[in-house]
Amino acid sequence: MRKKVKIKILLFITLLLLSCGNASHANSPFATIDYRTCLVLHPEMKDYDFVTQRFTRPQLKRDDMTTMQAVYERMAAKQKELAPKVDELLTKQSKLQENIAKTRLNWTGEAAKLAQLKVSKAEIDKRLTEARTRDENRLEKMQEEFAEIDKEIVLLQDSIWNEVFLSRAETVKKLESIVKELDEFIKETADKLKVSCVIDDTLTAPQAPPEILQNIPDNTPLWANTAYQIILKSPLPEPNTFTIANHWAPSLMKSIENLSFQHLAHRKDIGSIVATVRPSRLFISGNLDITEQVCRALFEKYKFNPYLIESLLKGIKMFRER
Amino acid sequence: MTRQHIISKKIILAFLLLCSTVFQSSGEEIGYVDSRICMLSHPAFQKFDWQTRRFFDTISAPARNFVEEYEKLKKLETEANAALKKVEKDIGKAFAGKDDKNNMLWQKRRKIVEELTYIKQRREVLADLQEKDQTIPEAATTWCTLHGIENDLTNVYDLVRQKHNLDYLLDAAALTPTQHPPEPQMPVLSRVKLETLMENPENLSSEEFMSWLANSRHYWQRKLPGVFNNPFKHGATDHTQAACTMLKNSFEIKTAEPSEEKSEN
Repeated sequence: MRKKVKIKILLFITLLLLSCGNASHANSPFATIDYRTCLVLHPEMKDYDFVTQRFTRPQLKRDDMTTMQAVYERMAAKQKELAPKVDELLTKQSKLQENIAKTRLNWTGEAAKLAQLKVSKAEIDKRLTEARTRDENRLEKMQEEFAEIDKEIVLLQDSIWNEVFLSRAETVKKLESIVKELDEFIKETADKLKVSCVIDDTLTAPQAPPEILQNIPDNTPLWANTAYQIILKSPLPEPNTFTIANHWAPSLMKSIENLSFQHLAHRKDIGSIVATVRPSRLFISGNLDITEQVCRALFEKYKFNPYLIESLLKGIKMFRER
Repeated sequence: MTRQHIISKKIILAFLLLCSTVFQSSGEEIGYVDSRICMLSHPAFQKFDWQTRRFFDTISAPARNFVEEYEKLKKLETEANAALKKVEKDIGKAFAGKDDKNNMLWQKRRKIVEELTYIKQRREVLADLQEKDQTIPEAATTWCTLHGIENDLTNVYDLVRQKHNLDYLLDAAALTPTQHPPEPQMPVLSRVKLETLMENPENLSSEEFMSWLANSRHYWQRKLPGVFNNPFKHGATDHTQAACTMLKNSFEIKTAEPSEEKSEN
């Protein structure tokens, strides 16, 4: 009697566990996200300045006109002081750029010059390789020099904008922390929803519409789809009925196969035409998109006003459904 | 130990096994490869001429010197025929011998037959080119090599999946962008800041916000392509390197259409 009760309890627990196990699974191991939207709307990104490519300093009292006036005056004075140095570096850079372009052009000239000489092909190839190696080394050096000057300019700009903007290095560091935080939120949301893999499916949509023919011949049908039409209009063999088509059924099958192949070759054009109407999506239905959940979690962490959160989410939805 | 005890122990054991399977299946292993990088790692692509888009040393190779190549083919044919005769003789001798040796000989024969097929088809291609006064064979002549690459890739993907116990192996190439996003319109981004837009929630359903959002997405995708262009944001592991190593080491290049001659393998 006791044994039977034990078995019943164990069976009950097993069933319970099995149902829990099933419930803990998401319907699909995949979820999608619009990563770019999540990142550009990360609350910290509001301080990014697209012109200077730096974040503004969070402690800056931008609403205090007197303070800001004084800051701008100091910035202008510093800019005036460093302008000759920046100009000098920029001139150096443009000279280098010119030399880089000249060296690259030299390759074509060198090949033409060598081809005119009365020497063997092997000798020409040898000299050309030597010239290339020499020029490649020279190019590498010039590019390194160019990058060094770039760094110097960035440092000077950093010192001019220091009171208002983070330096380039600080900006990079802040960006890294924003990306890291977003990735953590994605992981958290995925774990919560028992999703194994999160995919950004917004990257593949083509941006430019396909070229439209300007001069279409008068006799072109509206939907030119000849290969498919030929297949459909073919005299086809019918089961249990004698038709002349039964005689050439095998060869007919082969030509339909060839025509289908030709017709299906155009499917890529259909894809790009459709994509201009709506962006392509990886999952047509049954998908779990976590963009909204991740954005909401971020906005809530940064204590955004609930009304602002709803408005932002509505804006994101509107943008994504366009 | 009574019979009752043994039965209840068995039940507990079965129960524990069931529990472990339930919990084991709660996460799926997902991996990905970039099929474009894998394809370029195939040994055949070391012989790919990007200018003519044909494979060297295969039937699709551009013709340089017809006379020289015909002579080379003739020499290769003589050597291959002699090797074929020899290997067939050896197969006859080894017929009753051990399987290993037999297999090796058939393998050798298969390679020679493939070479002879290549010689025959290359001659036809050269003749066709001479007739048309051209030097680059039709694009269709690359199909046999490409088909061989595709088969090798499929085999490698199967191996990767087995080796790493993957439930899914995805292709990053199908999801990554094929072109740069358009240049962002900087006046849209510099005219109004996100902070200003957020000051009045009504703005967030305006055309101005939609335009700001579209342009700032393009801006950041261009600025940080490494961060944005990888479509796998969580939970998938990259196996491209492993697949490329396997491809680099273990495959041969298909030089011609497969021969119709039957072989033992």
